[in-house]
Amino acid sequence: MNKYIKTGFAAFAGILFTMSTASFAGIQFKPLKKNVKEVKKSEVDPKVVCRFFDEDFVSGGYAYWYPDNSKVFIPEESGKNGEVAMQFNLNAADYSGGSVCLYNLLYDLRPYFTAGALNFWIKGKNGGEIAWAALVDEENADGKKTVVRLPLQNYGGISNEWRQISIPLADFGKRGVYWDPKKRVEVPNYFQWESVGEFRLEIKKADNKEFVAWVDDIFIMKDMFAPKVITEEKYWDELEEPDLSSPPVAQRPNVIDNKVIFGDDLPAGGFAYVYGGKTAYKVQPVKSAENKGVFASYLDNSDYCGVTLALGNGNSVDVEALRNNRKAAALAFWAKGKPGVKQIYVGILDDESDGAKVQTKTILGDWGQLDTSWKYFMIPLRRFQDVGKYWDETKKAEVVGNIKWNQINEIRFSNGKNENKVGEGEPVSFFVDQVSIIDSIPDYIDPDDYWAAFKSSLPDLMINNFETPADQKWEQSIGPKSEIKAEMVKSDAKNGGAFAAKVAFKMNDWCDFVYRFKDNNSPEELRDWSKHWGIKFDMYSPKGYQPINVQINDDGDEIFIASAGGQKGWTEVVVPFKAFYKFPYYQPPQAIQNGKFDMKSILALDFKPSGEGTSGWFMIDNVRLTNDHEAKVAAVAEKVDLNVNGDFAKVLNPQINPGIFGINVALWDGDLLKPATFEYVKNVNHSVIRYPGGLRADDDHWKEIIAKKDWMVDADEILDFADKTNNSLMITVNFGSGTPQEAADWVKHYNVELKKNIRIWEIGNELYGSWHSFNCSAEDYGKRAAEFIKAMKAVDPTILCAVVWVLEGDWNKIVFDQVKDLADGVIIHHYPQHAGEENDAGLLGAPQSLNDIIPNVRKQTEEFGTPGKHYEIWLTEWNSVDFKPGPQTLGQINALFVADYLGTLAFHNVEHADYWDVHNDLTEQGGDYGYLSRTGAPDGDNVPRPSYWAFKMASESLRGKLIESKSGDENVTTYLSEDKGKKTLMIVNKYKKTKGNLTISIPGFKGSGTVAQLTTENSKSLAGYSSAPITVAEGTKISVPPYSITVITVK
Amino acid sequence: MLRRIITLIGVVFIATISAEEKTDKLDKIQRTLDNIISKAGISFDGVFRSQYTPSTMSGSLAADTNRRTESNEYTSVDFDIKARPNEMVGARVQFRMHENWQNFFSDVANPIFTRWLSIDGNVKNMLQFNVGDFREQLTPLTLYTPEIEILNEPFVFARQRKLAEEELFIGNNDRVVQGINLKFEAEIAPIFNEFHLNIIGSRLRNIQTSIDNGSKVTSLLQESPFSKYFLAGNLDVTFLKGVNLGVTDVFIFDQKNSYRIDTKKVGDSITRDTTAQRMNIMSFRGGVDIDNMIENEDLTLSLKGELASSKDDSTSYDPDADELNSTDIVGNAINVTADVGYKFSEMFGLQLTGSFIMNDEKFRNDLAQSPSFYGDRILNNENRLFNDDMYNTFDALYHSVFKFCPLANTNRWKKAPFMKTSYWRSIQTQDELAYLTKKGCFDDALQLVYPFGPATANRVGIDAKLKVSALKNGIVADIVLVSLKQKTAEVDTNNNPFPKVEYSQIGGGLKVDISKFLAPIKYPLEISGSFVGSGAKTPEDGSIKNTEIKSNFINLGLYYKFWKRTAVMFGYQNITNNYTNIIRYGVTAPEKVTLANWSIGAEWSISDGASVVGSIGKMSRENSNDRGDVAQTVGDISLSVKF
Repeated sequence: MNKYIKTGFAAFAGILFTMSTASFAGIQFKPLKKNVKEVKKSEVDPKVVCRFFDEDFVSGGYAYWYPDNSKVFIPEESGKNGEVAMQFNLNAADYSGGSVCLYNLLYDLRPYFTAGALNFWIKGKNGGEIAWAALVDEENADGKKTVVRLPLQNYGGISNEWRQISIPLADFGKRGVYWDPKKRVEVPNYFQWESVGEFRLEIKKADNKEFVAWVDDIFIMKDMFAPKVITEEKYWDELEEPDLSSPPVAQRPNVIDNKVIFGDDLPAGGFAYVYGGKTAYKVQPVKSAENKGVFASYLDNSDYCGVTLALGNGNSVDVEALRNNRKAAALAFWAKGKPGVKQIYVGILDDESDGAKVQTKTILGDWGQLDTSWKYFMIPLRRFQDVGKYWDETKKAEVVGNIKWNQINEIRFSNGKNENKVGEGEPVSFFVDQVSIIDSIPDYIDPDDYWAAFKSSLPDLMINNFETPADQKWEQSIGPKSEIKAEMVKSDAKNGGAFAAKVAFKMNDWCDFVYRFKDNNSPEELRDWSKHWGIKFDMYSPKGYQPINVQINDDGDEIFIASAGGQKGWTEVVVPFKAFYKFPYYQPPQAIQNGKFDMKSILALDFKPSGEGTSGWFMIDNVRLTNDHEAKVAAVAEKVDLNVNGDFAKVLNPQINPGIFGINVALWDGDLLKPATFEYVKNVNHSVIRYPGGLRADDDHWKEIIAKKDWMVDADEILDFADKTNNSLMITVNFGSGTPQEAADWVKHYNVELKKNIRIWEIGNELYGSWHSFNCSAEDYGKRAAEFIKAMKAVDPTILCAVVWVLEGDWNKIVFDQVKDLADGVIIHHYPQHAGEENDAGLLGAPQSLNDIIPNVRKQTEEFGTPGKHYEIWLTEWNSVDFKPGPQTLGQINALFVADYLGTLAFHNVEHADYWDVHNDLTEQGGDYGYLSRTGAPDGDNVPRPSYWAFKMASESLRGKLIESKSGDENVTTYLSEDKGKKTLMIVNKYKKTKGNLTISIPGFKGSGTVAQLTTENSKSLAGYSSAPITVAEGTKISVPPYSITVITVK
Repeated sequence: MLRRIITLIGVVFIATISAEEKTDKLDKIQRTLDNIISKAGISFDGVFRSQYTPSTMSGSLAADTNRRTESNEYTSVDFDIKARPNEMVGARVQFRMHENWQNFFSDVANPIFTRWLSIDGNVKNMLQFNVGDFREQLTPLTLYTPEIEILNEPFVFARQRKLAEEELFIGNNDRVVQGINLKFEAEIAPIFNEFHLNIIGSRLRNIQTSIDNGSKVTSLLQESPFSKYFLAGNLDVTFLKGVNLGVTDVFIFDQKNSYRIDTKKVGDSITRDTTAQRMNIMSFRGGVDIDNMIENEDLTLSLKGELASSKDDSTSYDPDADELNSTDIVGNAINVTADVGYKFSEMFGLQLTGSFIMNDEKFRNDLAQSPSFYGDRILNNENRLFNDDMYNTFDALYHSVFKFCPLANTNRWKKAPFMKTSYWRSIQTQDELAYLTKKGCFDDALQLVYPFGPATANRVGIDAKLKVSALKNGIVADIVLVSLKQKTAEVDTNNNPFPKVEYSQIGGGLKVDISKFLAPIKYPLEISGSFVGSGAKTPEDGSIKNTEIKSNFINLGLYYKFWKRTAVMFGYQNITNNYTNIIRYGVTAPEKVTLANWSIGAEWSISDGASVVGSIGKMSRENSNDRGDVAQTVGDISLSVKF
């Protein structure tokens, strides 16, 4: 035996010796090839360091899903690599997800964090599914199952073919969120990269119509990317504020707390949560014997965000009685901000028991000056509206709802994008303390109560009749784009006096005609307005209606404003003080802003022209304080007899541009692609659809939207929509966050790849506006717009590009200095009313303001543009009010405005005009821009509003040649047209209570045809305007009801 | 489980550390645990299995006094843990936890059965080693396990056989042994295309192996007087791409010092000396692979030959001289094989393998001759265990019970659970093999021609196989032809020779997989059949009566995977054994024995690691000469979950 052992080991020793010496003889020892092959067979990618799923789970692994009607399973023949994959059938109507779990096994991914990746293959049933990939840590260490998640769209998205997703682990970051079931919110938390136990695929509610996707080969790979340098990011909720002072709590007014929401800390059962960007909160300790903690909100200025103080489940408070009975009950708190923090919204939210967490909010600045020192704010509960908004995940929009005052649970501090001026990357630091609902604000009287109880029999008190030199010391001031000229002229006002003030204006931003009582040493009795109901004055307008605003600087120089206006000729106007509200756009720096209209010692009175883009003049006389509740007005005539004259030989416009009937559609309109929308839009014959709509055009990337294939309307879908509705497209390219190349790619996609010949392209949207996230200087805009146009025309030289303009101002010249040789047209927007200043008569007079606006814009193009070059005018947004549409938008007034506006446009014949818009959303103010209702609206789904019918009537009428016609009455406008033998007369009766008995006196306008009428009676019906046969001859009489649109068509 | 083990390890470690070193050691342990948790070097696999196999016996041979129904139900888990801290060395343990449903209430302790333990290494993909359990084969005449081959065995049965064999790690003709295996395999450029050197050492048997209380896995016989070992050295080289040379030396020996002398037994020390075995086998090989040399993958053209010579010592005691006399029993074996084949295209190919065998009567090699199969009754074996007329080839082939719980009146085993199987991995001595042969213990349908495989002693003749494949292997036809004769005639007690026994086997099979050539059939639809007739005949010679065993084996099978993971299967087998003048255990065999077996089943792979298989079938035996009949209806539902 020994012999064998010795022999064997000798042989092996010999081998080893030979191996070690053989190289000298040129002999090489190599592994047998067959062995190498065998190794290869079982070889896996050496970069795979952890496995969640390939042909199966890891040993013991399993899947779970939520909610119950979702399902994750492993079907046959589903695999990308190998036989099977995991199938995720998630419930698209809910927040849903499926997890691949390890069992009793956790992965330490720290070594791979900087350069490793989460890799997997994914395929969707339809393609374009929206989902998030997430990793989940184990919950035993800290009791929290923390999730880090990233949208798949950012890493290639889901298509209906297998696609490999590779997400750098570093992208997930160090922190995630965990779901707190008690709070029912996600709470930020550090992610335990050392113990990762799940891979998860998640979807959000209503992001997808359905969600079926397959996932295969879920691995953690090492060394997939260049190592990312991880800088230790300081999260805002880790900020320390050693210098933060306590509010002077001892100086708090003598108030009684009804419910404390934040004392020294969050109340028992309460909590806070955040949304938006990097927003965070922290209870910061302060060095004070009487106060331990201050609630610090760190809001992300680059996003819409907020911090919410919640009382917790079951801790809602009922403030309904408090709000109704104790009218001075208030939400009160100490607050201050860091430098640059000015604009904070304060919201009250009810609980979510009915599925809708409704918020009603107000601007904190309306209730006091927010600065870097502690101030105690008391906001009357009654000043929070009953109507609020909640986020509807299904509609992906904020939806109007009534707040439940008996179930108040949360207080929210929020801000909008870029609304505060803080350093780049710095938080909007906002501190509050002693947040509570108080029984009453000391010495506070609710304005509604005040005016309801107001009784005074004092006679009118003349405060200025322009007669004396002192009374004539009015001042004028203007914004950079406006002009004003005021002079004292002879007055023939009915209430007497020799002089009146004549104010001529050209209004593009603002202009003021001001009398400063204090500066002019007016007697105190003339400045104490607290004993009167309102202000009364005589006003003369040469127009059918001249809207103005009356502005008052109260005792504290806080500005309040109310809208008013005068009919043609001299009228007496009464503006009740209760109609005044705090001017939202500006307050003097020295103003004591308490949100209260203090009238004991008024500082200034200002008559401001209204109607952007308009010019004109009006006279004011005999300004006095009054206790009359209404102005004396002449009796309204029941009817007016008019002749409608016309002459087919007088052609005002030989060819009405079909482009004036354009309309806006928005990529966020989840109802746009519904069949009913197709039908309604198609029937109007818009010719042009502007997409993707408004500010979002400068924020979204068209390729990403296509890739997402979600509920949003993407660039391919809108093509289809346009085709199906017989329209062409106008595209606004992304100037804000986009690039010239991205815009050029869009042109290429449409006109080269798809051969769609989309010719009209806008370079961005409203880049001049402070409300625009990417607003820039005119020069910057012009320079960059030139790059856009060059890049886009390099792809297709036949396209037309227009640049953003304002109605008037330096902006236009500066922009054109950069781009006049490249641009084919200019873009203007026109909303004649400011939010909150709506005035029916004013709006009805607004279409005629185009008579100033369009020629003026045209004049500017000639002045600033290349001589001899024709620039098109694209009025790409128009409607009645610039923000927050109110009930007026849903009524017959808006319909009359639409028809009259289109008629005026037909005369001025801009190349394009686009109404805003097909669908929008109901606002807290009770209005909606959309001419069709959205899903879930109180008036039903896709219900046409009066404006829709008006648009349709105008679109059907105003074709071909526009012929001169007139009724002789500014309140009854007529538009006569002839198109291929069809003659149409559109009559808009803007009289509120006066019907028009019209005699048609138009030679050649005769024959049988139809008469259609949209009246206050039928404009809200589903059928819309009435239609009846008519035979017309010269002298035919027709009655047009008050507030109506009539279209007579003959062939 | 892994975490529990890790936690346990951690607790043990932590418990042993002193307070002073606590921090450092905790860090170290944590790192170790982290490594384990993150699966560095550890793989943890295995399979859970649950099976329900009821078998009901009927027929005239089924005794009413014994229970007719046997039901085996169990749940078990095999853990297969591999640790590989670096690329050069690894270790593997496979153990089983098993729970029989029958004795769930009585088996309080649930022992762990260690099924495999080894430390393995591979240095630079050239130097490999195994310490502990390993499988290895060298050549059919040196280190090799003869296994059962059935032409076109229906899948429904083949699957069961594979499971039964895998219980003992049998397969691929490997020897399963425990010891040390060193292997150097490399290309030594530019001299050798392949260079293989093996040094193997292993214990083959231990003394007094007990089969009581459930163990029946080491030896057919209950006792071995010695510890038996073997050492082997093997060298194979290939040069010029296709020229092969090899030499092997196998040394099998009993360790005399392991013999326990019973002082009460007269002559026991002599027994030690005369019984102890020393066997040496030397093998030389040469061959040429033309196809490899000309690098033609479609061609098969090779010739190889092996000459093995065995030398076994024979020691006897001469009482007169009071001395031990030793002689060597030398025998040679020659095996020359030619392979000729050509794949003309995917659509057609053929392969002919022909061997010439000439094994001396005295060629001995326990390591190549010990079969892996000894047909035994498995199911319903409490019912007349020893009745040879009740033996059924199919029962032996396809059934095994890991832990059977016998009734109290079992007369062979104690009441403790034991394993029932017809498969073995033990090494028999020459005496044992001779005994088994003499008793006719080998299955006539399976082991008539080569009871000990290619190394079976005393055979001369040819063995040829032809395989023709067509339509991308969709149709495969096989023909087998064996014609052997004893090389040396056996002699009676007076040294008169018996006529030489002639062995023959002829048969053919056809397998058609329609999915291979009919595109609409996406998954295998396999229909197979075979007929193999085997025979062993001793011609009449004067007063010596002729004896003959003829065995015809028919297989018919269907396997249809009608969906990716779901298949139906059907199998039918029939064996007809005809005996002429055959006496076994002193009893004349019936003239004709007919064995039949059918089964129908379905297989559903729930996922890659989990499957359910269910089948039901019946096997029967009919004996002529009024020797009665017996049938067993067998159901089988098994669920396995791999991890």
